Amino acid sequence: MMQEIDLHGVFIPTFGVLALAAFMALAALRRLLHAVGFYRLVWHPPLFNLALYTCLLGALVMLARGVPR
Amino acid sequence: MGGQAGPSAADIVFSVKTFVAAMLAYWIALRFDLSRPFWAVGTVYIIAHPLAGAITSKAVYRLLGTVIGGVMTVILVPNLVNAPELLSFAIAAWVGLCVFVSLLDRTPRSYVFLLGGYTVLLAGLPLVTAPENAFDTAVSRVEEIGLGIICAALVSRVVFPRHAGPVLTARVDGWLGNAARLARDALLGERQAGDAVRERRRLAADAVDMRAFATHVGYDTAGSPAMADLLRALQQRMILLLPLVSAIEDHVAGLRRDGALDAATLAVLREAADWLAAGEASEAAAERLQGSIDRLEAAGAAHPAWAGLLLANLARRLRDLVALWQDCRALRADLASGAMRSPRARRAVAATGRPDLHLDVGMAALSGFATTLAVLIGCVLWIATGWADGVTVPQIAGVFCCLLAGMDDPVPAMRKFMVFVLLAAAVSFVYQFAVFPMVDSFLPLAASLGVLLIPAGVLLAIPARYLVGMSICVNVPFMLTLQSRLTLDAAAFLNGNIALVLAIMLAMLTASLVRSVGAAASARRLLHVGWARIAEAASRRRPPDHARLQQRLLDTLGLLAPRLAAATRESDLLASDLLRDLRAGLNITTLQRERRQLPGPPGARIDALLAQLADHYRGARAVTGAGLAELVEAVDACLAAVAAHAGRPAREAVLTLAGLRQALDPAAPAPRYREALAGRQAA
Repeated sequence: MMQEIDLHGVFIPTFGVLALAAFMALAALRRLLHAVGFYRLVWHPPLFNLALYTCLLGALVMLARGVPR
Repeated sequence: MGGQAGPSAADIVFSVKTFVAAMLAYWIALRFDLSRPFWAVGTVYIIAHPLAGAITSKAVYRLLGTVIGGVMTVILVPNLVNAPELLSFAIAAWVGLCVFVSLLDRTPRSYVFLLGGYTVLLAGLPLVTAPENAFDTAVSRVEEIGLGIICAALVSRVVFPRHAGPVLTARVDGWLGNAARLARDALLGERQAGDAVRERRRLAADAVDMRAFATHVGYDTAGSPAMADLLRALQQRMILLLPLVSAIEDHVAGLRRDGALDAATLAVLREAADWLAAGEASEAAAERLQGSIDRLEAAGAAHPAWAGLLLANLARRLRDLVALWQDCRALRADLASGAMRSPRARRAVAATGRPDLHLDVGMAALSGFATTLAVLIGCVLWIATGWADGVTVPQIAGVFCCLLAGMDDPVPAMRKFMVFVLLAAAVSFVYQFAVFPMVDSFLPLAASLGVLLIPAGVLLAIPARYLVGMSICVNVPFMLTLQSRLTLDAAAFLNGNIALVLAIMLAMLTASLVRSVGAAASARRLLHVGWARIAEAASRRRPPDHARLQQRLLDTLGLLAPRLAAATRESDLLASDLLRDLRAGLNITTLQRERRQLPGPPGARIDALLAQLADHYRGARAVTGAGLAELVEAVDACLAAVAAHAGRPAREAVLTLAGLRQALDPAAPAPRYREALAGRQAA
């Protein structure tokens, strides 16, 4: 995986971009789960959100660099 | 204070004054070649307050806290210098402890502990990687903050000082006016029940707020030292007024429902209402009113039924109200003149005990833990990534947790703050790279900053806009890292601001994970605390002091009020009326006292009732009102049993029981044992 992305001369770490993408995905997913009413089943929503974010970010990192064997 | 419509002239004067103080601090810092002049500038804006007394108190607290933090830095850093992990942990634990202690001190003094905590964060944390600077950094932070504080205090007191006195009397007058209106409506029965409850809650919250104000007043040299005492006494009287008004309202409503509200009673009520509404009333009018109330009580004693008890109780409450209102007037008059003159005010001040505040140890511990967690996570991020500017993340995350520790749910405030921080970053960017390159000396620099900071400072004076003004005025100097020489380093600027945003996100994360409970949960917690106190009063052989219970419960009520206002959808919470429960609690302590004079069967009856009451409040059934009907029935049975006995103690107990019944359920129909009461009266 490339360490940094070149944006017109400004180098942005790939991890930062992935973190941002995971955050966007989380926001979308959260809205969806809210609409479905999933959060009524969750004991502590902030904790659930944090875990979900970690999963999303991990998945994105894996996709970007390939699943390690 | 500042009008909601727009900035007043006083607000603009305040902003200009603050700016002058900031520039004075900046100039001195540059002259003495201090290493971080922007700390002095930022400090001036952090402690800025429209009132001179409040600035002095904030300045004293900030200075004290900074010194404590500086000492702690010098103690911690050299001792743990070889183990960065331990040092980070020690700093995080210290900050958490400081937040915990500051939340247990519910006065403006709590600022000392907060400052002691985050000074270590700001000055000590960068030393984890460069410990050789420990002493210099700690000293220079204390110096720069001290400089900022002195400049702010000096300018605010010398140039057009705005003293707390007039602001204070205006606030007190507003409060007393509202309370008088509330009392008037209660006497004349002219208000919707829901409105009155809301209004009483608002007044309770205002009265609790006034305590913080009293602390600032103590630092305003323009007022005599008596001012703070007078204000404290007045604040306590204000708080006592609320349960009285609520009781009077319920008694009047009860009399009206029974059709026992005759013309004579109405005349007395009207006389009392007029007396309350009159701004300044003579002693003669008060005497006349007392006479009418005495006649009312005599009429109640002669009346052979439930209505008679209500009348007698009403007369007592009215007498209390008159005495309390006279106290309030005397205190208000002395407060306006600035000296304790009237004997009535002197007596009232002497009778004022130390406030007994509600402390939520569990919540404070949780807040402290959240702060520690934020600092620790930030440190791990910073050390693990090896990002030099990352030190800002634990620092600012910790500061945010400290500053917003008192809120039920700090996350919305942080989110709002984030927007303004981004705005401030954009403004700073423009200044740093477009304006400053054209500036070559101090005066143009000050002028260019004034263009931004003076208008932003006006926002600082308007309570509703305080957050916006604060985030611009405080953040911009820090973001610009105002130095003696201009540095055009885009990387440093971006690094700093990215770290700042990450810090706020981290603070939001830990706050929402650990302690974001929301207003409703907090309100429920407070309600349960209140009920537990009433249950305790009912179950103990030796009940707590009457006045103390009243104070503690009213303090709880004052804390509860703003939270109930926020929890609009929680209907079960809104249905609860802690003020009514408070009156029940007061009647319970009175009953405890009277029970000691009543041996034999009636005493045993009262004991049984007290046990039942304790059970009711302990089981927290008070929230749904379940079991209320049985409770009222038990009170009625006890009332009948005690009323069958003659003598003064029995009569007193009967009156208290009637008051208790009216507090528990004012809507309950009149008891059905008029015969028993009538028989007693005949005998």
